[in-house]
Amino acid sequence: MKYLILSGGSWEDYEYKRLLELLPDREEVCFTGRMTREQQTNSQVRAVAAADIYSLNMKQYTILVSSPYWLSEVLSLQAVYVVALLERCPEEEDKWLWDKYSGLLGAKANLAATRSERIYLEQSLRREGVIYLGGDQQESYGVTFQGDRLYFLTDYEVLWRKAILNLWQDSTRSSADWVTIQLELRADYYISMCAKLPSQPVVHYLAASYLYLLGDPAANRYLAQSFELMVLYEYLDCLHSHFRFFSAIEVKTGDLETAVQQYTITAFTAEEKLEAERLQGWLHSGQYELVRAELFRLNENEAAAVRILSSLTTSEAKLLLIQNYIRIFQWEKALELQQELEGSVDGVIEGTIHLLHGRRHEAIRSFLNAAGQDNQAWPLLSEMADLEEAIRRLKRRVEA
Amino acid sequence: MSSHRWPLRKTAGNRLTAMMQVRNEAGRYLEQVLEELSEFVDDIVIIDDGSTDHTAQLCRSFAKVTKLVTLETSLFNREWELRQMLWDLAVSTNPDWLLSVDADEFYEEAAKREMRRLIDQDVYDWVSFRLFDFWGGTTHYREDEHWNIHTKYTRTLVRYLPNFHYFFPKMDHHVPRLPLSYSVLPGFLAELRVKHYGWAVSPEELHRKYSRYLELDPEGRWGSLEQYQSILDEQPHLVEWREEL
Repeated sequence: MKYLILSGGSWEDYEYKRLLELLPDREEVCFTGRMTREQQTNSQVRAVAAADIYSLNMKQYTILVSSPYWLSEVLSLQAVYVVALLERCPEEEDKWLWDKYSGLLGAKANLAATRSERIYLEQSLRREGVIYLGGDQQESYGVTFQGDRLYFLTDYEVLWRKAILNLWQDSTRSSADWVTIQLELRADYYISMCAKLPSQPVVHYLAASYLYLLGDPAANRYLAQSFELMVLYEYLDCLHSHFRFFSAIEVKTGDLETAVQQYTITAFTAEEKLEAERLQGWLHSGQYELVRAELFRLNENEAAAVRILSSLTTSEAKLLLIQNYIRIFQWEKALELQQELEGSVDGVIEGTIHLLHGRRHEAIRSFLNAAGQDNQAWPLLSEMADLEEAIRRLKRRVEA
Repeated sequence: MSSHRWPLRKTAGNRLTAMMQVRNEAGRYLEQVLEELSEFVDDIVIIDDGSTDHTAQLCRSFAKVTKLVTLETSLFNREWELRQMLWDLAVSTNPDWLLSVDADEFYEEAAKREMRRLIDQDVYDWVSFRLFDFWGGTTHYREDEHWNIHTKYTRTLVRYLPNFHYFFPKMDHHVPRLPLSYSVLPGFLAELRVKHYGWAVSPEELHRKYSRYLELDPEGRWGSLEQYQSILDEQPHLVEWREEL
């Protein structure tokens, strides 16, 4: 297998060197970033200038990309597979821009990998095929030879190799195996931590989160414990975080009336009250799939919502599906559905997609159309300039 | 009984249930409290915590007392269990609102008058009041460093929301009268007042109460030893109560 690494700067600062060493069937690894000859020899990684990446035959490559500002290249290169190494926003970058384009990058990737547990959980709620590049297990979970070198592997390193192999081996095969293994490992870890730190609400919340992702109703018990601890320690801003989560757990266990009521407990604004009424209406008219999907979305579990809505054919379901696609940055799918349903598309989303595909003029036209007559175009054009500047900075770091 | 209701927060027609735990209250203020409650609540739910007098009989004589559970053995030293038991009993009536009342508490006229307006709304889920500790009689309340609960708000009126997670801290004494869970919900701090006659007793009874507190909590684990000591103050600072009609 051949791999192209699109880094955030230099080999020296690249944080995933060991993961590159562990790549399965490693035939060739090309690195776009600063790299000395000695580093190339020692790592058996070949440096490729940013300008030369288009000369590679992308039908043979998997891209591993660790900056969202490579997204335009990722889209135009059309490699066989894309692995997004999602990171928290570095200090020197604009967080809003970074998070938005990281979201878009994650949505485009066949596999999302991250060292941040927060991003891991967020992505796990948004999509399938997410791997956490960290762990708390001390023991070795396996060994592998790369050349004549023996590697003792941690839990996530074993799963990293499985996840990459899974991309190539059989695209129709589900990634469920390794995903479930990792979720179980994280759940076991946090359950054991709950016993060690019985008064930590966050630890209980994380245990509940992993159990929820595994579909284990015990999530309810850990969430209740987390809620009690939050209240006892006077962290009182937890109504939404906990009760929308309770509601989603009830959806999984099948008690939709309780789930709607738990959402309604959190509904105070006019918009939230309307949402509660809508859910109640669907419940009474027997549109249970819409209730389930919407309650999942309200708990930010868009992946579960999309799974339900994708199989429904009503326009109401498709409108909800568009909202979910937008939230999880599946913007091309959202536009396609918008066009089908409404005959028009969201100009901001359309403009962003044009921009990422290098169609600058079309992007500006979409932004101007979206902005209307009252100078609302300025923030959109300003974001466009910020993105272009961020890309220039990345290229300077890579090529310096 | 259905635990599902719609709308969850009603702006009219709310049913108000008072909940009380009592113990050996005959000959004190209970009868008067029940009379007054009967004027403005729809039901009264009571746990008699092992009374040895005719408290239970007194409770039964009021038509609005719809549930009364009498405990053979007092749970006084396991207060959170008692609170939980009373809560479970109260919510088993599927109430809209619950008012937690002690056997020596009286809502002032304005509070009773406003009670329906306080509950027939969909904006907040609890109401707190100002509680005044009357001292040595029913004309003055005490106000000093140790006796100033009236400067704060005490949550006594709550909307019952089925499927909300309710819990009490598992403590033997000084357990809050209502589930702590309400802290995360929006509430209303009312300036309306409640008269607490628990200390409106003779000097001899004050001595007895002092001794009981020290016996129960000699190290001041559940409350302040200084406050216990202040029960015996010979000249506490008292303020005359003025009823606002």
